[in-house]
Amino acid sequence: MKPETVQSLSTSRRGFLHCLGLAGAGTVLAPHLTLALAESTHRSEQLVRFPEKTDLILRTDRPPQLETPLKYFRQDLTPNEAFYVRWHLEGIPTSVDADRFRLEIDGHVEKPLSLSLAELGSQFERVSLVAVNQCSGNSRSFFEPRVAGGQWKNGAMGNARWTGVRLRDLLDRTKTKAGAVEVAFSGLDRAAMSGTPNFVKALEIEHARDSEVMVAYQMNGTDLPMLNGFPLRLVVPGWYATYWVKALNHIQVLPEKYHGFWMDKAYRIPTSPNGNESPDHLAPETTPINRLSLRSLFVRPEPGEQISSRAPFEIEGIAFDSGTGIQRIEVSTDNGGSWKGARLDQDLGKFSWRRWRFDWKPPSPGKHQLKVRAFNRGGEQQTTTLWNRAGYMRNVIEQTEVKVL
Amino acid sequence: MQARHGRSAGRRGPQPARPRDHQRKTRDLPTPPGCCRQDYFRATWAFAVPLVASLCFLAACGTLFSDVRAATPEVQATNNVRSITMPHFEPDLPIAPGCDEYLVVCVSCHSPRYVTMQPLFPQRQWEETVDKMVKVYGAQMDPAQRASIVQYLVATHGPNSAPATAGDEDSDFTSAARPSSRPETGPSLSLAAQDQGRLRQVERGDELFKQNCAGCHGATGRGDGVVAQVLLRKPKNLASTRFSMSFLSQVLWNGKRGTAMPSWRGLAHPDLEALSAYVLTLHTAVQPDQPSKEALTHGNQVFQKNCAQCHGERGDGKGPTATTLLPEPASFKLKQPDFDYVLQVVSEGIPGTAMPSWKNQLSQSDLQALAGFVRSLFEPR
Repeated sequence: MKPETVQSLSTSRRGFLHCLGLAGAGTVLAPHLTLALAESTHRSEQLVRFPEKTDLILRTDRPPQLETPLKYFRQDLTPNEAFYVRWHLEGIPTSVDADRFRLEIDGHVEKPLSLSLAELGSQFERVSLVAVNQCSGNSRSFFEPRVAGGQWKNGAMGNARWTGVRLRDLLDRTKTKAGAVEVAFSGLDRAAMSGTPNFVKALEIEHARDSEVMVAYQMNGTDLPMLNGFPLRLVVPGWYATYWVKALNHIQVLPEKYHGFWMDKAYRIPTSPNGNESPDHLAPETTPINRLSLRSLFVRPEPGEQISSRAPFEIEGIAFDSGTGIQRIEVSTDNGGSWKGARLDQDLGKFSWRRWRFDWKPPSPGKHQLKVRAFNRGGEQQTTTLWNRAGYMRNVIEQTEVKVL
Repeated sequence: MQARHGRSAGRRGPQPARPRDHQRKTRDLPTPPGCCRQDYFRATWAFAVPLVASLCFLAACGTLFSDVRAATPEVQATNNVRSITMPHFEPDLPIAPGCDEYLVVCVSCHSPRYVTMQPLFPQRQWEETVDKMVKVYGAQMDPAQRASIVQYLVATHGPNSAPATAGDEDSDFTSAARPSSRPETGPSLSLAAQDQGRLRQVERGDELFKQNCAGCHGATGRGDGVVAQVLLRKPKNLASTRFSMSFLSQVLWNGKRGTAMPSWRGLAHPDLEALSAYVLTLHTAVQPDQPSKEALTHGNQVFQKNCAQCHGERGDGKGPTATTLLPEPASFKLKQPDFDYVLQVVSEGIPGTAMPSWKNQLSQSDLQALAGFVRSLFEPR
């Protein structure tokens, strides 16, 4: 993008294009300038209130894409009303009769099931775990070159306690036939146009039966909000949220691999390491997106936050991976010159995010560049660059600027 | 893994049926005094089941199914329906060539905001995106519309896009004027003259309707498809109004700007004719007698005083303020709403449009006279 674009857009009255133009143009400039520009556009974000939700950042309204403001990540469990929202098809369920709702489980099974919510709650063991739910495209707006799709910052994720039943227990009850290969999942959402493919996701049978995948009827101890999938949601711990089918009402066991748009064409990543490719050399092969990449993020200071040089400041953030476990977090307060270990808060479970803290005494007033990187128990660490055509799995080492007064 | 799962063997399973605070937002029945909620609903069921059965029987006998359905207490008989109403935050759109095509092709499936949130892309990338909408998601457009839409996207979200003239992107709601270009006249569609030919058209139209229209208009065309609930401007109840062929032709060809009704010019002409033939069969209501001359005069007075500003003196939808409104005011020459439907719309207004509620301004006799007059303007063609 040419620098003059910045000029023409910065004089525009239209706040939103202004924002996009600056963020896009800034990335060819020095990284710290990008941050400063991004920060200056922060105000143009619109907060809106949807049913059963608190003020969330509006990305789009129909079907809704609503982002969680960063401040909520100061809590270990993201409140239901602040949990981000993302639907694909326009016909989202706006009315559910909980008495008449049935979860159908059929396909390659001896005994198909049609379960009411009451049956689901009384006939199967109740299980619970804390897990991060993160959209595949979380942080997409930070990719350069920019890519199309929901223009999320870091708030298309949340951490919640999910309570429900093991998918394995449901499948056992249906007496899955020998030779089952995959299990397909779909919910109550429908498209406006008959040509639009229904939203169906699939997991391999071994994964579906691993005792971790669950059908959740509660989120943080209460019913799920309608916009997060009331009354049932598939929980696939450690996997990107595209598999966490909302308003889940159909589970189909298949004797072959599932083929459908949302598995074969959409939500695919390059097979190259970390899903990386370049705009000039797109990866020849892709595979369905799967496990969460290792990442660590700043929660405080927030972008643009000003702190005092007279008192120590506790830098705080979160880190997670797909379940291997965070081993250590390192923070740099001198733009990557040196790194020191951060403290880890208690472990809430291997699929939860882990809070980290780092006490910092700012050495001098002025602007400081902070960075954070995570290492997991599998020996993985974060990288400095990542790009792919769909803007998925962003997990580069985060940087934020803080102004010390 | 299992060890990580918390157990609470002594606890009951989920209580999804428990009335909770969200019930304030649901379609609650008032609880009669001295009656606990649960008992009340149990009692409701006791009479509801036989009532539903008998109503179904009546429906099967060919009585007015729509009215019966409206009276069916099945929704009221459950105390556990959880409902939400979706808000709308549509952006004001920049005016540029192709805006009309964008409005009648793209916003059926997604808010215009889906585009306004995107970064600036070069033409090639917008072309790929538009083609993906057609090939992957089944968007309906012909090559000329595709070209116009790409032109619009490049103009407003291209690398050299100029600041738009439409105003503030942050405004919550699309209320501003749109380009006032009149939509093109649709193709000349005709219905088969012979009964058998017409029957075939209707059958084909039924098939097309289920494929393409039922998502919004519902399987029986009553405007109650699965998508209807999330739309601000509700899909038309096609049983409520008698349409002229020129109206159907124009709407199918151009879509309806300012609503989710797309243009269907991707369909072949015989299919558009079949769809029209089918839609005409959805309107079956028997109409009241032609009003008296006095009533028409009265209705005309009410109309000229209150309605002509938008709908035009002659009711053709071309009043002085019409060009500033989206969706455009109805032309009563092209369609004839049922008497009761006029009463309903005039009393309640149409949410998301410029049509207000008149129930506090007009008397009952004004309303009745107005409805008769509006219906008299129809010119079936």
